[in-house]
Amino acid sequence: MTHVLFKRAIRDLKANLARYLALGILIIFSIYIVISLVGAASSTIDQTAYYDQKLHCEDGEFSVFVPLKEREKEKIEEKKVELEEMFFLDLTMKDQSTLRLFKQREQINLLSLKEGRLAESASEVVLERRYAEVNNIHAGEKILLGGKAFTVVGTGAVPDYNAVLKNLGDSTVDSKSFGLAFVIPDAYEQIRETGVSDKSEEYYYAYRLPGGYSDEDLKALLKKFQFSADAVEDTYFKEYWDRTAGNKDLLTGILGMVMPNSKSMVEKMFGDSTANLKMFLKAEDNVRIDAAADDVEINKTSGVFVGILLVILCSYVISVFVVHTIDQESAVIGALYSMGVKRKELLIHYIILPVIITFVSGALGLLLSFTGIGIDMQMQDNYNYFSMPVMKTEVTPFMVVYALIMPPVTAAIVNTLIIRKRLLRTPLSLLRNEQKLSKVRNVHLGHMAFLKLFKLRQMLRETRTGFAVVFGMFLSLLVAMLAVNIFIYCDKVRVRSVEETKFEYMYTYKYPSEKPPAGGYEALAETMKKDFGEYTFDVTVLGITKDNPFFGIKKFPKNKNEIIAGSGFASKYQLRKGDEFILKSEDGDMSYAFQVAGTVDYSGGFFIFMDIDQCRELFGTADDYFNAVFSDKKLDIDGGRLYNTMTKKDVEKSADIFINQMMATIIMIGTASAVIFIVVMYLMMKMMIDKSSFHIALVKIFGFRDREVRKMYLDGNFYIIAAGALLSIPLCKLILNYVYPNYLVANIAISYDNSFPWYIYAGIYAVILVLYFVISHLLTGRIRKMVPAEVLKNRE
Amino acid sequence: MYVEVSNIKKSYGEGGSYVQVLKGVSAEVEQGEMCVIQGTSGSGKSTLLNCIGGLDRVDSGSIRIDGNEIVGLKGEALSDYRRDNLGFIFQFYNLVPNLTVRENIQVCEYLTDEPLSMEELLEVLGLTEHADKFPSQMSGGQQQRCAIARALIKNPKLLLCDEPTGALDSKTSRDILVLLEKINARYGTTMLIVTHNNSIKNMVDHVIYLKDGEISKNYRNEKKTAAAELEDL
Repeated sequence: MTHVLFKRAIRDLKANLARYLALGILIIFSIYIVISLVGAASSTIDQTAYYDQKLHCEDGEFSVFVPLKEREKEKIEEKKVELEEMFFLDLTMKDQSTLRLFKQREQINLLSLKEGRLAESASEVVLERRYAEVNNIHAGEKILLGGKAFTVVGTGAVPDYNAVLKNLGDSTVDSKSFGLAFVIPDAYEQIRETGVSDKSEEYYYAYRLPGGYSDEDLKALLKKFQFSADAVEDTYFKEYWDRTAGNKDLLTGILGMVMPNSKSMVEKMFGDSTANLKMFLKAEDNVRIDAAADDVEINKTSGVFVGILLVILCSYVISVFVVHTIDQESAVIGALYSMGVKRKELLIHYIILPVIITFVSGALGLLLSFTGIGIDMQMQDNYNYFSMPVMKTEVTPFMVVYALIMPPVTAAIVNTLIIRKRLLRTPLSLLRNEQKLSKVRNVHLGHMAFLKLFKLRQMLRETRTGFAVVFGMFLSLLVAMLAVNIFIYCDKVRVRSVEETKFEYMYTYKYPSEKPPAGGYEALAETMKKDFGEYTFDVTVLGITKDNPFFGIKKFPKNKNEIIAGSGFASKYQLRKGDEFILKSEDGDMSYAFQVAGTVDYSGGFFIFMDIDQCRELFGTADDYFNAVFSDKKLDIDGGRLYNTMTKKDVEKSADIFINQMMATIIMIGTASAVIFIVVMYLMMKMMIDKSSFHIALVKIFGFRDREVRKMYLDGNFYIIAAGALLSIPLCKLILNYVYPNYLVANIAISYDNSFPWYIYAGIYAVILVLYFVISHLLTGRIRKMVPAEVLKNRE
Repeated sequence: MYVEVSNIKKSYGEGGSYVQVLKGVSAEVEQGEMCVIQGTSGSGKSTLLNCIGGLDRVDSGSIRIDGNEIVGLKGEALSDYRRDNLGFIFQFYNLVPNLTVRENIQVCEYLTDEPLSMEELLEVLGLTEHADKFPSQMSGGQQQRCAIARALIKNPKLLLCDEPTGALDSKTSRDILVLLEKINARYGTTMLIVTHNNSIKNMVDHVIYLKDGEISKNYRNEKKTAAAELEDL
C-alpha cells in the first residue's frame, strides 16, 4: 500500500506544486538566514579562539611609567609568567593618519601574515592588513616612517589589535586614519632616537600566565614595583608629578612637625602613586582583543532567535497544511480506515511528502548559505572592519542539525502529532468530516441585510482558518519587523550620535595642566562599571561645569547622589526619574549609589552627569582637578598631555560604521524575511480562498454575481487580514522591544530607544494590505475562471 | 450464524438532544446471505451497519461476527477485525482522488495476503478499460464500481454497503445491484445492504426492517427476484 500511496504523494506534489514550492522556498530562506548568520558567527568565534592559541594571544597587558628593571622582570618570570615588551611609538604619516610602530613580536601576540613575509632588515616593515587595504598600500611599495623609507614586505594581523582602536576608549575603528606597523628592533630604535613620535614612547608589556597564577596575583606583584620620577622621560608627566604626588615628601615633612604619623597618612592619601604600574588590563576586558568574535555574538544570538522563530513558523505552516489536507481528505481517510488500513500506515503516508520536501529544502538552504551570498557575505563585513587573519568557514554540528535534521524531524513530529490526533477520531467521524460544534459559529446575529449577515456568518464559520492565517502572518511579520528594527536602530546610531554631539572637541587628559585652556570647559570623567546581564559596561561619570553648553543641562540636582542620566544609559538600564542604581569602581572595590534626577539626550556611550564640584567631592580629588575639556573650537593643548582627542568630525566619520557593519545582516534578514512573509501570506491566503472555492462555485450556480460573491466570501478575508495586521504589528513590536535590547544588542555599549516613527507602522500596514490585494487578486482570478460544475465535481 | 446481533442499544446526545437510535436490536444473518436493512430516514439502519462494521460503538449489547465478539474491541484489534473481515461500500464512493482505478484497488489489495485477482475483478466489474482513469474522469456508476472492486479485492467475508445506489440513477443502480448479486454468487460473500430503496428487498435472501430503532419486520425471502428484473429502482 505504501508503494501505491507514494504515487498519490507524487501526484499530490504535482497537483499542489505552487503550495509545496512555496513551502520549500519558506524553508530554504529560513535555513539560509539562520545558517548564514550563525555559520559566520560560529566560524568567526571558533577561528578567533584558534588563532588566539596559535598566535599566542596575551592573557593581559599592562603599562608602566618607566620600563621594568631586569630584576623586576626576573621576579615576574620566576612566577613562570611569559612577558614581552609591546613598546610603541605613534607616528604621523603624510596623510595625517597615525601608524603605531611596534617591534616584531617573538613570543606573544604574533603576527599572522595575510601576504608577504616578516621584516628582516632595518628598511622593511609589515603593515596591519586593514590599514594597508584601506590606504591601498601593497607589499613592495615604500612608505616613510620617521623620515626614512621603508619597504612594505607584508601585511597581517595581530590578536591584540583585532579591533584596531587607537585608544581603548574609542568606540569605532577607523583604519583610514590609524594602523599598526612592525619592524625589526634595530629599525624601531633608530626611529625612536629620531624623536619624531607624536608623544613619548609607551611602555606596554603583554603577559601570558602559567596555570595557578592569576591576573590578580600579577597585578599585586606589579604594584610593589616602585619607580623614580626622574627616570621618566615624559616632560608632561614630570610637570604633573611635581605638581601633585611629587610634593608628597614636602607635605610629609610639613605635617610631621605637628603629627607623629604624618608619613602613613600621606601614603594613604596618595595611595600607590609611586608604584610603577600605570595600567593593568586583562585580555577579557580588552576591547581590542577578540572584538570580532564579541561583535558577531549579536549575529549569533539574532540567528538563533530568528532560527527559533522560523522553526515555529515552518512547523506552524506545515501543521496548517496538514490539517487542511486531512480535513479535505477526511472521508477518504475514513473509508480507508474502515477497510482496515491502520493509523500507522496512514501516518507514514501523510508524513512522507512533507519530510522529503523539508529535507530537500533544508539541504538547498544549507547549500545557498555556503554560496557567496551566505556565510561569506556575513564574514566579509568582519574582514572589512576588524583586523583578522583569513578565517575558514566551519561546518558545525549545529548547522548540520539545523539544516538537515531539524526540518524533516519537525515535519515528522508536527505531522505525527496532528495526524494522530485527527486519526484518533472514529472512522465514522472522519467519513462524515464532523467538525466540533463552536459556540462562536452558531451565535445569533439578529436581523440585518442578507449580504452583511452572510458575510458575518462566513467569517464566524472560518474563525479557525482566520486565526491560522493571522498567526502565520504574526510569526512571519515578527521576522520581517526584526529586520526593520535592526535597520532603524542602526540608523538612529548614525543620525543621533552626530546630532547629540554638540561639542567640536573633547580632550581627555593623561597629565592635566594646572588650569583648563582658554575657551575650554573643564570636566572630570571617572570610568565606572555596571553589569547588564552577563556583560559589564563602562559608565562614565562626567562632572561638568554649570556653564557647559554641550549637554543641554540647565540645572543640576541639589542632592549629592542625584545625577542626570544620559539617554543611552537610561535606555539600556531602563532607568526613569527617581530610580536608584549602583555603579562599581573599575577595580570593583567601591560601590556608588545614585538616583536619577532627570535625563538628557546623549546616547553615544553610557554617561551620567553631575556638577563638577560634586563629582570632585565624590571621588576625593583636588578642588581644581579636571581630566577632560570640551570645546567648540580647536584648543592649543600639547599632545603629550593628552590621552585622547575626540572631534565631532570623528563622530560623524564613525557614525556610519555601525550601520555599515550591520548592513549585510540587515539585507540578509530583510530580503529573506520579505520573501518568507510573502510566501506565508500567499500560502495562508491560498488556503483561506481554497476553502471558500466550493461555496463560491455553489452560490455562483444559484445566480450570485461576482461582486456579490466577493462581498459574501472574500471581503471577510480582507477584514480578518486588516484586523489581524492591526493586532500583529504592535504585538510584534512589543516582543521586539523586549527581545532586541535585552538579548540581541545586549553586548553593545550603545543604546537608543527602540521606537519606530509612526510612518514605519503605517508603511508596514500598507505593505500587508497591498500584499493581500495582490495575492487575493491572483488567487481569486483563478476561481473566477473556474467553471462551477468543475469545482463541484472535484469536490466529489 | 455468521452475524449475531443481540439486544444492541445506541444513543446520541444528552439532555434535551438525547436520542436513542437503536433500542435493543437483535438479528442474525447467515453466511453467504444477502441481507437488506431497510427503514425510513432516522430509523437507525445506518447506525446498525456502522456498529456491525466497528465504525461506531454501541451503548450495550453484543455483536458477534463469525463467532467473535467485536463489542469492546479497540485500536489495533478493531483495525485487525476490519482488515480481516470487512469490505465497505459507501454512498459517495470515497475514492482517493489522485489515484487511478487500479491504484485505488491496490490500496486494499495490500491489506490481505490472499487477494482476489485484480484483472478478474476489473473484468467482472467492467472496469478493465477504465483501469488507468482517475475518479474525476469517470461517471458516478463507474466510480461506485471502482469502490466495490476496492472493497472486494481483499475477498472480505462480510461486505457492508451503505446506500450503495443512493447517488446513482436507476439504470446504473440496477447495474450495481446485478454486480453485487454476481459477486455474492461467485464468492459467497455475506452482504449487509442498507438502503431506503424498497425494490432491493426483492432480490435478497433476508430483509430486516427498522422503525424508530427497533426491528419491525425480519424475514427471509422464499422467492427472490433477479436484480436485472427489479423495477422502480
